[in-house]
Amino acid sequence: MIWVTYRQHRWLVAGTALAVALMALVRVLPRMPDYISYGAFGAIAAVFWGAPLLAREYEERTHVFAWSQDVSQGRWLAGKVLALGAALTLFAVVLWLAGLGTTTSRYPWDSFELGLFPLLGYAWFGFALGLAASALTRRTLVAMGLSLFVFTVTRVVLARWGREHYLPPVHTWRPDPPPGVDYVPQLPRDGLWIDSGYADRNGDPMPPPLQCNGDDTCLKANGQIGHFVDYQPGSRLVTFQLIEFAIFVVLAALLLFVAFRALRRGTRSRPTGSAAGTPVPAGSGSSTRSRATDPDAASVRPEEEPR
Amino acid sequence: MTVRVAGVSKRVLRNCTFELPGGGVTALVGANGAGKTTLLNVLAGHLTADSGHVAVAGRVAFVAQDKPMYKGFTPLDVLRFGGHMNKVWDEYKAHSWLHRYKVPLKRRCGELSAGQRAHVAFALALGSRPDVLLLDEPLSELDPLARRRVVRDLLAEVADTGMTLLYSTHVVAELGGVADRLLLLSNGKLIVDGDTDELLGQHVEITGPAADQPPVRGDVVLARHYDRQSTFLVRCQGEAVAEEPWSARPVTLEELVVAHLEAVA
Repeated sequence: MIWVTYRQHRWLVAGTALAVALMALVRVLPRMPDYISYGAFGAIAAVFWGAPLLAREYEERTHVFAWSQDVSQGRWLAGKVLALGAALTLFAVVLWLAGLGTTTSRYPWDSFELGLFPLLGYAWFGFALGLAASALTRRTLVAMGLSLFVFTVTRVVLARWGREHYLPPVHTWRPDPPPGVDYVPQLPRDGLWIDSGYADRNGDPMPPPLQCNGDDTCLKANGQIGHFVDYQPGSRLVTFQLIEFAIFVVLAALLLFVAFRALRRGTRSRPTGSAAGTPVPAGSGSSTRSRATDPDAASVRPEEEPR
Repeated sequence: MTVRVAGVSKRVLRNCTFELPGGGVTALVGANGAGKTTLLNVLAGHLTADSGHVAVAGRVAFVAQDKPMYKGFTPLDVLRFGGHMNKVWDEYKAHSWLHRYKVPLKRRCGELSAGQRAHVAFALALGSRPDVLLLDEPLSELDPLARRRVVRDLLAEVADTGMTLLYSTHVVAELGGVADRLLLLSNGKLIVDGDTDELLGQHVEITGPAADQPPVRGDVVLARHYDRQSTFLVRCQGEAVAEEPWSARPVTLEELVVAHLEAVA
């Protein structure tokens, strides 16, 4: 399957290699916002790697050609997923290496998505998402659009609203220093800010007394004695990257399952011995293997058929 | 039995039942839309029957009517693909087919003529040395001369390897001397299933004076009545002896097929 995958998708691999090289170059040369340079990688995996993989076969009817050989469609797809997934993994590693030199930023959370694990998670998720869309819609353009949309929404939602809640934040508070003392930032430099505000004598967040209009004396009179900050400490960065990786790996696994199921449902395994993984050598035509007697050979059971 | 189909229904197909012994050539004949392609796709595993059982012994190769293949592949790539995708692969057999029909090996399949693409598809199918070869309208893209050569070569392959060949066609004129067995489909129903020689022995055309019934025992497939004359195509049980003023003559396979198709039309 490696040769077959390479022969069929060599231009895709070459094109992606070019895109990865460009992204890595952009990363290495000037300072660019992280989301611009690398956010595209997972989307490329979804739109150009996953979405056309089955849909193009269906559209050009080449699935009849590909699946008329001894290798069953399940093994055929598994071979392609493994080979292309390995190539994507390699590209992710390249991007990660290119980003290494630039991740010594003062704010480690800014380079969250440059980590190896997030990069891998996005790539695998994107690929599996495109593949599932491909298997379900069987239309290349529809699968491309659908997977791009879902990929973007998932990434944005998790990055903006999900990520900071992977673990409960660290809660700190301190009484306001007397006037004249130098201000020391309450949020550590490598921390990810979650929330902050007025704190009462117990250190608990309190709603701002609106009637005070920011007047200090009035605030103190209403019980405000300090400020609190909720944040994720920099030491959690790798943990959070692993959590995000785990989320995308689980999503990718579910989507792969969906894709393989849709493949099996569309056209069941062939009624021959070969499809069930048991070789039937040429000339042994007398050994009739029946769908009815071999559960692996997928006997025709109408009740299993959807619709 | 190499191929066993029991009560299969799918799309237009209604309760199809037949068996094919190993080896030999079976022609699947029917009008357009009769269900030939559906039946072959069910046998090839590309479609799942709504009901019924399908069993095929051994390895199957299937060539679809439109001969789909990757347009960017050259014929050499297709053969290499066949080698990678099959447990058994006969490179020599596949190569010699392409050579015999002068298919350019290094031109992209998208740039080949339909006939050349058909040969690439045949080469791939034969190279995998299948036990059962399913061909859907295999000759449709070929010119009349190439058709005869391809039929001859396919028959030689069948004789050589002992594989079972099932091919569909709606060109009844090309059946003579090719098929050992005949499967006649009409509107998804199997209306004739049998050994061609036996079928030819059973069917006679009886001509005589105008009459409602033929003078022999058997099923009237088709009756034609003219002013003073009646013609019956009869499927007889036993010997058909026609006495004066009736005359009997054997029918050709083409006449037999056409009569059955007309009868249900």
